Amino acid sequence: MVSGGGGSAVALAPGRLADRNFKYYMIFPAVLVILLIGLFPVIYTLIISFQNLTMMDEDTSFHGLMHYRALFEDARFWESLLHTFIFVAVALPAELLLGLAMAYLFLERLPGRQIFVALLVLPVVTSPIIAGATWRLLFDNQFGPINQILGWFAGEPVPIIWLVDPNFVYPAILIAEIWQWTPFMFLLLLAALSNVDKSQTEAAELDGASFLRTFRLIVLPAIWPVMAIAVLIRALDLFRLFDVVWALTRGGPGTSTETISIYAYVAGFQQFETSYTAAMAFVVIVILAVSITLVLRRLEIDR
Amino acid sequence: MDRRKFLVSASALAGASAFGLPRMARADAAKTAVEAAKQYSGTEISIVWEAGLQSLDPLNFSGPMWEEQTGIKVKVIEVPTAEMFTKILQEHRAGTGAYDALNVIPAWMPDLVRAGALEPLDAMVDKYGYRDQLQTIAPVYRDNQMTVDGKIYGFPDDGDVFIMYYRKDVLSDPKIQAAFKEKHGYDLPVPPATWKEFDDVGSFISDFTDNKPYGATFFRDAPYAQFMFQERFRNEGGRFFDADTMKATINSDAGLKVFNDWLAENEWMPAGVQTWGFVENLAAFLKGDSAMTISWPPYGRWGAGYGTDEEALSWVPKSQIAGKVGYSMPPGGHPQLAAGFALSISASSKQKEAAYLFIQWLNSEETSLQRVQLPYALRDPFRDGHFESPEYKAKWPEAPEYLAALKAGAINGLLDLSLIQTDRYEEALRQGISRLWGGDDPQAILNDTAATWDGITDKIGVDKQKAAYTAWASKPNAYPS
Amino acid sequence: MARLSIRGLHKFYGKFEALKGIDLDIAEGEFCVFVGPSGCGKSTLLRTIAGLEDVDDGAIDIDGEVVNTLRPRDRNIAMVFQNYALYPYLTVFENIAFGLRARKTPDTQVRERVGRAAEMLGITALLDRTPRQLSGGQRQRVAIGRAVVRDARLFLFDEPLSNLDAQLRDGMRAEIKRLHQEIGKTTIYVTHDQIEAMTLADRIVLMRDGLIEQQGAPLDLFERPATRFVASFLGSPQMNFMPCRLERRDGAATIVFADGRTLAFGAERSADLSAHEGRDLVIGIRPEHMSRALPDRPPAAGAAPISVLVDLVQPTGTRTYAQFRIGEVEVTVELPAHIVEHPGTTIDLLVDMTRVVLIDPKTDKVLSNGTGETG
Repeated sequence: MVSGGGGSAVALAPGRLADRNFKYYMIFPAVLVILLIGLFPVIYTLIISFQNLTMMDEDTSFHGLMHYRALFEDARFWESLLHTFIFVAVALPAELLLGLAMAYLFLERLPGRQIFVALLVLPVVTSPIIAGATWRLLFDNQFGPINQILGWFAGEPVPIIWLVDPNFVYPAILIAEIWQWTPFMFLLLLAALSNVDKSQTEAAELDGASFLRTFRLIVLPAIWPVMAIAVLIRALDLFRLFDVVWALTRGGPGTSTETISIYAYVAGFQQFETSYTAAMAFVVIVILAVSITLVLRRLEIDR
Repeated sequence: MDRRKFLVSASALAGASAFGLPRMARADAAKTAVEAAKQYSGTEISIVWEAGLQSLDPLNFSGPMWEEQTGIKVKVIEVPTAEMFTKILQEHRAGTGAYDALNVIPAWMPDLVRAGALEPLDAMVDKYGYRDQLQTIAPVYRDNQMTVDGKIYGFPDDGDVFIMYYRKDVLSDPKIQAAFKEKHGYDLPVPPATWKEFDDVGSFISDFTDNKPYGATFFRDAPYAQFMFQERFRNEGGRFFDADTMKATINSDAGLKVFNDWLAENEWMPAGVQTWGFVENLAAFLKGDSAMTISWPPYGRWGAGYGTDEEALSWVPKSQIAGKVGYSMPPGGHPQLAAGFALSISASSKQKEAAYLFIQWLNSEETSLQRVQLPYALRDPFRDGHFESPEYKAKWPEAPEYLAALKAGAINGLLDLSLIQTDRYEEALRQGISRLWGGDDPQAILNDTAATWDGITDKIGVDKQKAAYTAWASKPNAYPS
Repeated sequence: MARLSIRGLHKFYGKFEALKGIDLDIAEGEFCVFVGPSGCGKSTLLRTIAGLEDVDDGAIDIDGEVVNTLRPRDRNIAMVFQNYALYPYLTVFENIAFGLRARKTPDTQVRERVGRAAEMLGITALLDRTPRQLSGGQRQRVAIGRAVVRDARLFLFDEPLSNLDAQLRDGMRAEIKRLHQEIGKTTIYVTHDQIEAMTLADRIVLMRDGLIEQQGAPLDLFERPATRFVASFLGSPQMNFMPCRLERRDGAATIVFADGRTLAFGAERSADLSAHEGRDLVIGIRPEHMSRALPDRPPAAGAAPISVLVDLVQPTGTRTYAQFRIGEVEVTVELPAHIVEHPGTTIDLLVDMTRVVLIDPKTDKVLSNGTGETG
């Protein structure tokens, strides 16, 4: 709307400018609050990580990078980071693929579909620590049903000590974790898949496209935004994995299943190495912030 | 004896003589507390208590009783054992004053005192004339679990000690006796007094009875087994540190022997015993599946069927072994005084006086005698008077033997390791044990654990920790004498 | 090109029977339109032919091969969907090429065939765009392009024009007809619009409640409906239906309405109708089969006069519709554009009695069709 000069246009200009800024004034308080809520803990963590607060000492003097240096040499920290990555790397694709498969299954009209969906969603609404405790009972080598059922197949008692045997602790934790969170993927993907125009897949089918080709060219692009967010949420959750591991193994045997969250909890709240834990937390924040930024940028480009 | 104490004692004596009851003086500690507390009637104090059965004491018994007598409400804050230290320290750091009285595991008391979380109690002990009754707490608890650097920070309130329980009927079975002698060339000892004997007997019974019952079962889950290690390691002659260099010596031959013996024992114990905790082991023993075990005192009471009709104990399997259980010191003769509880006052409490009076009343001879007889509450005899109580001795036929074993434990017991930041050392030990069950090499684990300990010591400061260790190790119950 | 033969086809959705036994033959190169109101089963029938729906009973036979168990991709059928079903994340070119690529056609051939199809449909300039950037009509062309580019033996159209506005629809309709004339493939076209059906079809299959009500050439159906439903479905405005009684008066078969007004048949039909005399019937008169009586001209043979009171007038430009009542029934008559009366006037009409249909009110079957031809 470019008017040819004249008083009205001149008079309008400041008004329009004010209008343009008005929306920023409106969101400013909200942005400020979010920044305070989000940034304050990060900055506070950073400050603490330069001090030397321990169980005994409230030493707030500046110690520079002392804790970061110690962290760098702390094998337990790097190992817990590695364990965390292992959990993410296995559980995330597993939950995604299983969730997708289940969503595909439930896309069809099935008798009792709604009841099944409701049942399948139960794990997600269960408190993780309770789910973990339940799995602990299930995995019990003496009274647990898992060994019993395996025993039926094997034809002899199966003496697997799931939560002690190093060969089985990871599978045990992963089973519990995947059991609990696959339905989350399932739900989101089911919603996303339901929104894919059915006639598009039918058209592709008539066009002679294979399932994979249809999925790659038609379904995947349609569900991609939802899927990406679901994966991102789960990846972040998995990176903070705590409850299930805590309930099942407390990070053991030894520290072989200790995640970064468990190590941080032990160091911060059992041993009260406050500053050291702050440094640990800050490193994790940096790692997460960098990877999320990269992932989000990637998503933006793809859209 | 200072003036005040003298006066209190004198007046107590006068009162006692007037009634012709010599012990009356001490009973006054409870009464004194109640009388003094009445001025706080209508207020509420909170006490941190271990979650679960332990809490039933203040919830069902002592809390309501205290409120009835003084008008002070008691709010019980239940906290799982593993989080008690964390919560107490966190609350102290936050300074909310949400906790008034506390249950403190004695081994952690020095750490909490160093962090400033506990209130010194000497002044109030004197003010309310409680010193005399503190003297009748069994010496090992009184001398080791009450003070830090000479000041009173807590009242020992739980005579936790590992007792060996054995099946008299099984061990004395003539067939087993005869076959054992034939195999091992010596009479089956009832009960075994050394670990060599214990393992001989245990493996033999498992073998002979085809695991009905097993020769022995233990809790092996690391948080519990950690105590078992501390006990056995020292009974085998182990020392935690080199007293001069403060280097960890947990990876000595004694440590290795304990780990190797454990692995060997697992072979004749139930499959999966590595995961057993207090409850699994209890169930096995009460069902009669185990001929010998070592655990805290409640096993003895419940094994005799005492109080297991209580609703709160409905989860405890009905004892199949009442009347068949013998009580003794574990092999080596020096049981772990594992964990235990002391009653303390939070330094950030805003009602220290009322809270103090409550714990004095709880801990007093009169009240505590009732509390240690509560079938469900897991508080175990810790006063001389408890061990000798005719009332307690009459609870079940073998109760006198049971109390005698607890008393012997209190004399021979070994203190939990207590240093600066004890939990960090214990955590490393727990991890080592879980690695042992995971199949790692025992010597390698012990070397790693020792290295971790050295790392912790370095970080805390060798000299500081050495001083703490020296002080601890100099106590008569730190190592077997 | 293909012949299609369907025998005894049944389809259930749970307990609901969507198709209740369909028998149908479609000849090679025929343009067949399934028409009927919503829920009549026409789309279901189309989808079973495509293989998108399973069949519960019966056989679908294409060129002598029963395809019931064949997957859609193996039936070599092309289909245009109501909502076009374009692949939103592919360009127009890739949309059209999708089927060819899925069948691993060499790239040069793909280019050539897509190019030809695009040219035929006039969308060459759009090949690099995505469906999002296209108008409704353009999308429709792409959807058709995607179907024609393949060498499918059968073309299916599922209400392809229903999402277009009226003007575009007329244009596209003509194009589809022209396209069929050019490539001559057997085509099945589903619509609920009787004008589309009439204009496009070689043969109309009129469906109702999961059954074929009547099938045949469009004018056949229009002029000789077998049932009241067919008579009412085809033609716009709808045929008027009035309850009446057939009597013989003055030697002629005569329609008598409840209000006493009459319409007499000519001698020719009178003879045929003697069997139905004395019965209560329904008479069907198409609006265009009534005309204004001109005072200076005698009525044509077989035309019956009737005076009516006009109560509503609707000019459309080309024609004007006037409404009046016979008894309770609102009747529409189609008149030349400029013969407009004000509501409230009485006019004299002539009903072409050679074209009216007589229907049995109990069975809704047509007892007697008109003899004349639409002209």
